[in-house]
Amino acid sequence: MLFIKKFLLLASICLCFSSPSFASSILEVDFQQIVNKSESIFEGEVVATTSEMSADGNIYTFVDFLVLDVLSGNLNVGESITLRFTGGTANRFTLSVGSTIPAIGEHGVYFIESMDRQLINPLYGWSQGHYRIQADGQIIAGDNQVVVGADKNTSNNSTNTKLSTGIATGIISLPQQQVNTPPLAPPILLDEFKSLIKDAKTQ
Amino acid sequence: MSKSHRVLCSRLLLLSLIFMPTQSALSEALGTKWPKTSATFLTGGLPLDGPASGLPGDTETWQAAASEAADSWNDAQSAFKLTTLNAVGNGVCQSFGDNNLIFSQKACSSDFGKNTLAVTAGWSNGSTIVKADIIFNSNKAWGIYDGFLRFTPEDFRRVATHEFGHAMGLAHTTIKSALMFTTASNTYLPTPDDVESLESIYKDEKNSGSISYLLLLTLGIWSLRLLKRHKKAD
Repeated sequence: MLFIKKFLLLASICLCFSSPSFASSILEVDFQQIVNKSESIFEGEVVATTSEMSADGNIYTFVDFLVLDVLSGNLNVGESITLRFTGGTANRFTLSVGSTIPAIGEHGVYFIESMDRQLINPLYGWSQGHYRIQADGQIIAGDNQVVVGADKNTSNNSTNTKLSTGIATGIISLPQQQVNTPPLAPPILLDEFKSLIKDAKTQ
Repeated sequence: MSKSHRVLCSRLLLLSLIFMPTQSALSEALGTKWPKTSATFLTGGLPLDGPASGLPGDTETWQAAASEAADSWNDAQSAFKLTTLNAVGNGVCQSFGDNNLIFSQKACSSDFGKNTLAVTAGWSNGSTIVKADIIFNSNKAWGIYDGFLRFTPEDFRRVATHEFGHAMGLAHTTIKSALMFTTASNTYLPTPDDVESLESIYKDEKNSGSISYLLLLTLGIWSLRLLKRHKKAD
């Protein structure tokens, strides 16, 4: 009896599982660009998120961050800021434009394109300006890539259009399973990542 | 429950998991799909004229280029049918109404930002896509051309073909030669990898999905009978 119940529960979970997401065409940017063209750069923690359908029919997710450190821009440590992302789930519907919306409890380094303009994604270059920090201090970029370095001299100077791969040019990253595999570079931790950002900012 | 029942149940569970009607194991599926294997997009929101950049292939209209983008998918595969109609739709960026292709200075009431070429705004209910709008950033310079990709103007038809891929449920791929690779390239038609990914969503769903649901139904009936037997025995 218990076994049947367990089976039916497992089958239901498997059948219902899905991760809806669309995608859009975002231009590739480089590390120097995200550092120098972002209005603000900060280390923060997501303390609340709210998704709602607005009067115009769009779904927006409002993400509240507690600012833990300011690397650039007019923010203050300890203040709370709210960024609006287009997308989310409300009233049974999910609107997705391909943004990865920071989740509650997330700790990260965020590059804000603009606080004043209502952007579809307020982060510079979308996921290219979004870095999650794991509990062990490793930096995660894009689709679960571990950051092992950042080269401010690698510029995106191609004459052709390049769409974003999810990670800015110049951010050196490895898939999680290759981390700490010699002779590949070890992951950089939060303090080193922040030093690289500050260093690039002065260029 | 007897040992034989447990063994049978475990086997059915294993079979159900193997044939479960989720997306294919390929990374190219977004996890959402249309309830039918077709969708119609309205192109009446695009300007009637075309670009005037003087590039080869630049002589056609935006609407014709959008239809060509859809047809390039239809010509490459039969798993999903895209139709374009020269009519003005409603409900752009809303959960109801038509599927639209438009140029706009705004993306769903928001600014595009410096680095966004086009947005596919997809609405879903659970894992079912109910609507999709493809919105091109009119603040960028656009053209229509074949051959190698230029930085300016952006090639509307190539981006439209790529965005149609997203609208049908495809994510980016890691295959560099594919149209759904993240970097726009000289590829402007769906490749075998793109087609395979699309077929994995819609064809596999038709086949393995029905098998899986049949197995689950069988198991459900079998479970109820077993419960009845247990009740009678009690």
